[in-house]
Amino acid sequence: MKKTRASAATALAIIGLVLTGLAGAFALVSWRDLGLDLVFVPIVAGLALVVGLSSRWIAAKIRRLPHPPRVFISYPRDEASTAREISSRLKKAGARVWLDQEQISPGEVWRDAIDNAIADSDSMVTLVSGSTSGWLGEEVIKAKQENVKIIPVLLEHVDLPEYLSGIQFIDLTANKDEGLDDLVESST
Amino acid sequence: MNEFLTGSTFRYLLFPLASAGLGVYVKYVTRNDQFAKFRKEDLAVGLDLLRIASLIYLLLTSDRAIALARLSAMPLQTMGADADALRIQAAELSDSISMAGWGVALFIIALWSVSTIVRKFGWESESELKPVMGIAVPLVFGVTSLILVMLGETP
Repeated sequence: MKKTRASAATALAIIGLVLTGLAGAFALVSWRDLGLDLVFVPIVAGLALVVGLSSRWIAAKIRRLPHPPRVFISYPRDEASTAREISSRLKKAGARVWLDQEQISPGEVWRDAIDNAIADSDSMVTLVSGSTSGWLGEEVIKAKQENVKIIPVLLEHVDLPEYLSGIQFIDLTANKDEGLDDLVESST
Repeated sequence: MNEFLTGSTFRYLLFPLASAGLGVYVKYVTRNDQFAKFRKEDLAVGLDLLRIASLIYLLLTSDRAIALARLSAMPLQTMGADADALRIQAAELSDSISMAGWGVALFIIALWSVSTIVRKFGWESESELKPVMGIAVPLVFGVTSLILVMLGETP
């Protein structure tokens, strides 16, 4: 019964759309004495159609325009305070920073929120310590799929995980201040 | 400047396009998630334009009704040589007001139809619109409605 009602509503909507189009055309014909002004209707409607059809391409072009750098910070739970410190440094340098503890609201599907944020980032800062888990690996894989620049940051004397091998890292174990300056420079 | 603002190019080309552009910009800068980059969904302002066009139409109809009431209240003696021109103007205003009910009905049908089409066929996922049914069709209806409303107002 519900399905019948839904398809009736859809059919009515389509009829309404066609009727509105016909009525618009009728209005144009009845206002034919407006002359050249009517030329603008197909021009603007055509432009709107082209914009709508190429909306994906337009959005991609606009995304490439200059904008404040967007940085996603990926970190092990034990390094939450270091992540906040780095976030603060990056924000001072003019970057827009995504840190899960600041950005995910209660009730939000965190997996979707993280995936969207990675896709919207220009670079991902990945903090590496002894407590680094496999979950960070999934975030790094997603960043690689989205062509997001990955900047590994070594917080302790540990080996880089395999998924980060071959990527130049920043070492905060030797000189933290200098390392943070390098990080700000590379990600902004 | 006045000539430009009352000219056809501004009223029927720049005005609807600028309205659409401004709508897109406002949608993009006022959304809650400032980290997100520009998305194709930010271009989906067709229904907003359709709503604006219907409100402009209502306002213009009220203006016409007020103008007609003023004309009707003018004593014949004060019209002088302009009497014929004023009578024609009153007839035109009366004509457009008599069509206003149908115009409003049409806008209601258009708003309901386009929003239903977007709801039923316009979404490819929970947050992503399809370029044709979700963005292009409402956009075409939106800008065309704006132009039609402005055309109806042409003196």
